[in-house]
Amino acid sequence: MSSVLKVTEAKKKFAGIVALEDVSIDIGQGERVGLIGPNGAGKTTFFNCMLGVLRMDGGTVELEGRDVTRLPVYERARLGIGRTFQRIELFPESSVRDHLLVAERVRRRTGRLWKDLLGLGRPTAEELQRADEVLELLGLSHLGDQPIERLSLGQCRLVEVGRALMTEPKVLLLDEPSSGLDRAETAALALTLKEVQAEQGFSILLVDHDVELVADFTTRSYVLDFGRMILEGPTRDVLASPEVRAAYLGNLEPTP
Amino acid sequence: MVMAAGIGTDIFRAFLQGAPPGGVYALIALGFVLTYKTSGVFNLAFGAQAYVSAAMYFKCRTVWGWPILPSFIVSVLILAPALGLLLERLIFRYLRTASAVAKLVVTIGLSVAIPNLFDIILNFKAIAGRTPEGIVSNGANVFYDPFGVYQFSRNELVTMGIAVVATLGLLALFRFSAIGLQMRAVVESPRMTELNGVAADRVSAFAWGLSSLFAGLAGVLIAPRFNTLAAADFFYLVVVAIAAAAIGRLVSLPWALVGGLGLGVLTALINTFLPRWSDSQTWLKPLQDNLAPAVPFVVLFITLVFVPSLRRAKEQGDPLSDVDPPARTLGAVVRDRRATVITSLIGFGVLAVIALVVFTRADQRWLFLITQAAVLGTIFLSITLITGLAGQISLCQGAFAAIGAFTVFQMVSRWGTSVIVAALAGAVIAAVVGAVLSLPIRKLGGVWTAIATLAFAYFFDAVIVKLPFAGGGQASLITGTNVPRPVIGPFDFKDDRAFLVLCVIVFAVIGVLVVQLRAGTFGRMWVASRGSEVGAESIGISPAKLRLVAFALSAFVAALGGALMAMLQKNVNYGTNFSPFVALFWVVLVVTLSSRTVQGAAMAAASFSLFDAILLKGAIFAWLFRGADRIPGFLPISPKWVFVLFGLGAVQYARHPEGILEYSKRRQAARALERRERKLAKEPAVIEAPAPTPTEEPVP
Ligand SMILES: Nc1ncnc2c1ncn2[C@@H]1O[C@H](COP(=O)(O)OP(=O)(O)O)[C@@H](O)[C@H]1O
Ligand SMILES: [Mg+2]
Repeated sequence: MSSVLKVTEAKKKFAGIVALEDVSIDIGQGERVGLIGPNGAGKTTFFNCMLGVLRMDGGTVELEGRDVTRLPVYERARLGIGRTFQRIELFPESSVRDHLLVAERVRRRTGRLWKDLLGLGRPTAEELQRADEVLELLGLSHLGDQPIERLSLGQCRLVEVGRALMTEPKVLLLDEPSSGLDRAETAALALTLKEVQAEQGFSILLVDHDVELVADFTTRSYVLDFGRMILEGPTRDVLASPEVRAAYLGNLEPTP
Repeated sequence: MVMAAGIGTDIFRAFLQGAPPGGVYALIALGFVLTYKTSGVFNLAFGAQAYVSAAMYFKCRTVWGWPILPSFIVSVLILAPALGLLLERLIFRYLRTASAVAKLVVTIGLSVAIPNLFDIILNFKAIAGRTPEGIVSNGANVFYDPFGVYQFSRNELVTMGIAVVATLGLLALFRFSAIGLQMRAVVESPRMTELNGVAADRVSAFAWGLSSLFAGLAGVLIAPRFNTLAAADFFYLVVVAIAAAAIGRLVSLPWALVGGLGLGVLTALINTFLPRWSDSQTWLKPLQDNLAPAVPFVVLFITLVFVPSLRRAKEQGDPLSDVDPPARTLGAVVRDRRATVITSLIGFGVLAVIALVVFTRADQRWLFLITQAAVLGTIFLSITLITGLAGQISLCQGAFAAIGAFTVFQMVSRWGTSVIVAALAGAVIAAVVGAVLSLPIRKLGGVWTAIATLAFAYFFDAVIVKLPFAGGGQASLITGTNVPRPVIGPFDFKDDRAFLVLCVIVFAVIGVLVVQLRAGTFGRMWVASRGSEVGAESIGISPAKLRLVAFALSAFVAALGGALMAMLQKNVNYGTNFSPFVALFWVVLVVTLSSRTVQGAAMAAASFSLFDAILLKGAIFAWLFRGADRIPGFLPISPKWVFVLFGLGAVQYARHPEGILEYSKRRQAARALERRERKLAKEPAVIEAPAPTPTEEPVP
């Protein structure tokens, strides 16, 4: 299985706090990988480093064997790292459909200033069709024209997923997609993601607190604690390991 | 060697010479940092507050003939803190959760409104060539020379003394008083203190009063250095203070002090040495007089660009942003097609009637005002582009417009180029300047873009305008900046009506292009990026490119408008038309009405040009009552009301960044939609539980 996203010895400090210490990860093609760890472990920071929102103090990020450590966020995004945010980063003035349309236009790279000035910059029929397909897939069709303001948090998360899917990512980083969703919504989201993934064949790195979701969705998992990767292996084994139960799951599932 | 000793003495002298103005800069910088850190307000109105005290002092001393002490007490010790408290209580307390950019815009509005309101209330008129004489008798004429190298005037000594006392007082307050301790805690870590339940309102009110006192002190102390009391000069002062404060990264009071003193000394050093170098280096000559006043702006710009911690300091602009719930964001535009068509038909109808009246009835003065409105509208469309669409606050649109005007003047007077060609050349030059300017500031967060462009505007004002090949330097002072009207084929635009048509066409064409752009790829990428920059980046949008295109286009349009303005007036008139303080009011106007729409730009231009003539001078009453002799007695009202009204209007930007026009339109549309939904569903429209607001910052 060839590697899609590979991070080697990522380091990150914030004013003295060590947020990431030599964190490495390797995600193969079409794989679904989990990343768990308690609050403040550095998971979001790790995501930010992978996408380039934060500059790492050391280490490298490779996408399909290509070193992207020095590239800005938007170039990494174009090369195939898609992402959703723990703290929603939608465009408050756009409708749901507009989110997908602008992502589609950027992916196609057909936008030109002169076209805009001549009035040729509006969404094409093809783009509209693809946006509607993805909306359909995520069960958001009835909300296409709604402003973000009117959506529930769960729906916002779906829009973020949809926006990321429009970029046809090679690897999709999901930062706590289930927070704000109820059980049924979470299950539906997992099902949808599996379907789309089976169709398009990208990889997924999932950060989530919902143990059931991680157990059900991923085959392999990493455990991050205080900025250090303490464990890696098949999700089943990882979740069953005493370290994880003690440090992280202990309070969630008290052992009898 | 004599030479070496001479240089040593010169440096020492420059230090002494730079200390008094440096002390004043330091005072303002201290006050500035104080409000910034305690309430997250980047207070550009600080200069206006300084102006109020200075003008009050002038009024007391010169007009009313009061002695020094009561004048000082009234204007500095009473009026200044009262003004600060008032601003905090009436405005900024309610803006705590607004974004840093929104607060900045509010203070820009205030810096236009406050001086004019003061002038109106107290019926204050500056006397040309006179300023208050300092706070000691005979301050400018008695000298002391403690070191035998530089003669301090008594004013300068007092200035330094007060700066020292005020600083020590501030230190003591921080150290020894309860409120001071709380304030220090807030300054050091606003989030922590807020969480610990320190009475934020009290601390912030106190900080506003205190910093306003500093502003007042600085205003009264610096006033003798000016020629005539003018609000614009005091605004300049606050930009200098920001430079001083930026050296301390806007967080450190001691460094702000050092920064203020440092700027004073650096300016004095340049004043000492540059004339000497320029004796041998002739190319320095034209720069000599202009470089010293530009020092703060250069320092500010360089600090912004090269101090990395300032660069991405978005959350710093709003220290409490994580504590309070984020401000309400704007919804997407929900529009009813039919209503839109009807309103635009009505709009065009009204326009047609106006056009008819103008063409058949207007005399020369009205033609001029209306043409001016069309030209300003074009310039304002550049603000629509940069602020409304791209979401950046640019305060250097005046400089861009001036580039267009100066290029026409230079090319026509030097080479006899066709006016139209020259105007296009000017627009292209401005576009290049805009693009280049956007590069170093591409990573600056919202507030800092505004400040960097302001620094550029003042640099342009101090240096570029005075260069012979740009603003015309000496030559333009003597012979004026003559700009002819264009001739295109059979059309000679010397005729005012023909020129009006040309200007309206230019406005309309650019307006259409702006609308196209808004609906196109760039328009939609701008909407995305101003909603969430990181969200936009995560789908492959390059923010630097967006910014570059926005600046280039906006500069192009502004320069085109500037060129038209020069043709209209047959003269560049930089000071009246394009200086930074004037351009500040443009932004206020456009942003208050609606920065998102072409209509907003048109309304803003009409307000700027016609408000005074139609409303304040009573033309509308004359028309209603059919006779100029029936204008009611209370007219004409002071034209300064325009500045007060729109300046205060900018306060609503914090709540409705889309502008008054757009807001009311949206509210109507939303109501209509609600009614329809209710009718359809026969029960209240189903709206999902509202999501926590998704973005960090509401759109600037
Ligand atoms: N921008 C930042 N500045 C300073 N500290 C930060 C920043 N972002 C995260 N941290 C710190 O880094 C640590 C890891 O945070 P985060 O990555 O958000 O954890 P997680 O997502 O696993 O809950 C925390 O201690 C957090 O306080
Ligand atoms: Mg997290």
